[in-house]
Amino acid sequence: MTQLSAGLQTIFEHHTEDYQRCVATLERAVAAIVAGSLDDDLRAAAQREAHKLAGSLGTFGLPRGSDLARELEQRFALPGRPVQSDGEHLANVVGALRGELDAKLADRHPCPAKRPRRRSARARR
Amino acid sequence: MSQMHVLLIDDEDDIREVAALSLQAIGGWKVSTANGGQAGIALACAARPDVIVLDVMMPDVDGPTTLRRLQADARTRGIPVIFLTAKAQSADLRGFARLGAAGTLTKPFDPMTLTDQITTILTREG
Repeated sequence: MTQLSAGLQTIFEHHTEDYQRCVATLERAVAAIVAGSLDDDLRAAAQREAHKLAGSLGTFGLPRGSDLARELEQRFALPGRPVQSDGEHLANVVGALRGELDAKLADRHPCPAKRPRRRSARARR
Repeated sequence: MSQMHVLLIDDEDDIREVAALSLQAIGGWKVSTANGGQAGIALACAARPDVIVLDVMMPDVDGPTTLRRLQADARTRGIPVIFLTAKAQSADLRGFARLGAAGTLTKPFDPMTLTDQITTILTREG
């Protein structure tokens, strides 16, 4: 199990930039919705990236991330949607998705302030 | 009993890597991988795996088309195929069964139980 857990962590880290890129595309798409300027190419890209995240994140222990991504995928797949009035809700969903990913990455890179302090030379004596 | 040999066909690198790791580490299975339907069919013909785990949505040749081509080839038609998909609504599942899939696994999957899920499907298939 330890071997599997370590391997999963390595794979996640190897693909972190891909997941970040997917979320960035979704953020761009939602910004375009809010601005009323979402075109077909960006909508298709957002649907594709949401599909990827929906299938992947839960595998790495982020089931809520997969659920949020699936909601986005479904929204972008609806004919004629999303529309400008969907923007606020979708911005919240993408924000939550970003939060899930950031929290996982924060676990990977613990804040330096939380790392155990090295004992001072005086304390070691 | 000889070592189980699985062929994973999925265009997503991370999914192939996680599934392969899971099946090797937990099941001790031999795993081959292909990143698309075309490459997967060629590998299936050459390697004759015990089971094929096949993604549904792929850009070159999609899962259902890949399955039909595998069924049409005498070298591969007897190999059970399990779909792996993020589309898991009941209508989709019925459609996959009609195509002749042995079963369906949903994404995201649990790497800890993937081996058991495949074993359960194959046992049910007989």
